[in-house]
Amino acid sequence: MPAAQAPPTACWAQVGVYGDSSCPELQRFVHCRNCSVYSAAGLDLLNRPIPAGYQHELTHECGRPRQVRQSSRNSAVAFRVSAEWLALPTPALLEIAEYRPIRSLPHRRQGIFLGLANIRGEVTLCVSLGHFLGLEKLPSRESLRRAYHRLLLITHEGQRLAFPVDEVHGPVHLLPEQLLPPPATIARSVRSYTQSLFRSEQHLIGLLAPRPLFEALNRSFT
Amino acid sequence: MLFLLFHLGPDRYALQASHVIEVVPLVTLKSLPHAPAGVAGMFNYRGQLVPAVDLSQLTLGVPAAQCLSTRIIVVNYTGAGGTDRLLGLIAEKATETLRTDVRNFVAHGLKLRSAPYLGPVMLDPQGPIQWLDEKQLVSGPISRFLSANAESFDSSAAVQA
Repeated sequence: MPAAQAPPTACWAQVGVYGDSSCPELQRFVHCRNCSVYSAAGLDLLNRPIPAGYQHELTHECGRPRQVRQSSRNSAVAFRVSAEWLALPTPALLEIAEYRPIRSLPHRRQGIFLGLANIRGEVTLCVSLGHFLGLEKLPSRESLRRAYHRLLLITHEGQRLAFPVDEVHGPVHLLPEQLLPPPATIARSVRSYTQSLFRSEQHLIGLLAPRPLFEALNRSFT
Repeated sequence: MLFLLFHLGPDRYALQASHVIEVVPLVTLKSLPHAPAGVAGMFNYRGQLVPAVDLSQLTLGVPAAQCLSTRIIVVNYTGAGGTDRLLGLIAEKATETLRTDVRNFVAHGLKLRSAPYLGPVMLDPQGPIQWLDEKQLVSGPISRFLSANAESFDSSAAVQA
């Protein structure tokens, strides 16, 4: 039996969704694209002679090495802490929350551990990434843009942490060739947690690795 | 199991998708002098010379139509001496795949001596689909021709299109 022949008239344009939607098959398929008649007609478009010149182009292309499409694009969210631009892989990011008061607890040393904040009703540990990485604080004049302050809520293997940032750049899609190894000149503290560098809009951004970051932060709490 | 479907004339056939290295368009073939019927020529596949067998010519005696839906299915075959070689199968309407249970293919009891590569058949609402075993495709005169000319296929000299 031959494969389904295309109908003489384009039924999708007459009784289908592109027509008056009177086709009874629409009850089953909802949209013409789900119907085998439509897809068969689409496939049938390929049953036509190869256009002149096209075969030549295809032959040439077939002789070249296979183009393996990079389907693994990394995604990261870039942010600024003091003068440093950093990023974390998107799966590590739970939320970019509005800046809110952090209640410091007594008997905890200031510095890395900032306190607790209420994020969506959950009490969340807040840390200072700037302090943890030893980043220099900018003079108060430069950190005027308080409207951009955010609290980044991150996660790793079930653990949650939040840290304030001065600015969030947003999600960045990265191709593997964009990622550079961290240079030796970077501060040792930052380098330990940086998996790679990439450039985005004139900034050189350090992509942090969640695992060593969480492990080190956990150690500093105990 | 996933199958690549194609046509030989009006009938549908299935090839095991895991055996397919790549499906490329019907490129211009370089002719092979004194080639047996069915060997349509050779082409430059990613820098390697690969022979092409026209399945329609081989089984029906009619060359495959020069359409966009006619494509070359690149597979492996074991040549003389046990080495794996590439082979292009020119097949019409090689545009669909089908995922189905292998048990749906039922032996029909007719083993054609002349076509040992034709296997069990599956009944599909649109008609029967016959399993094609490309490993059994290369036999007799074609096999002898390909092994005799193996050295020219082994070279990576690019064919001038």
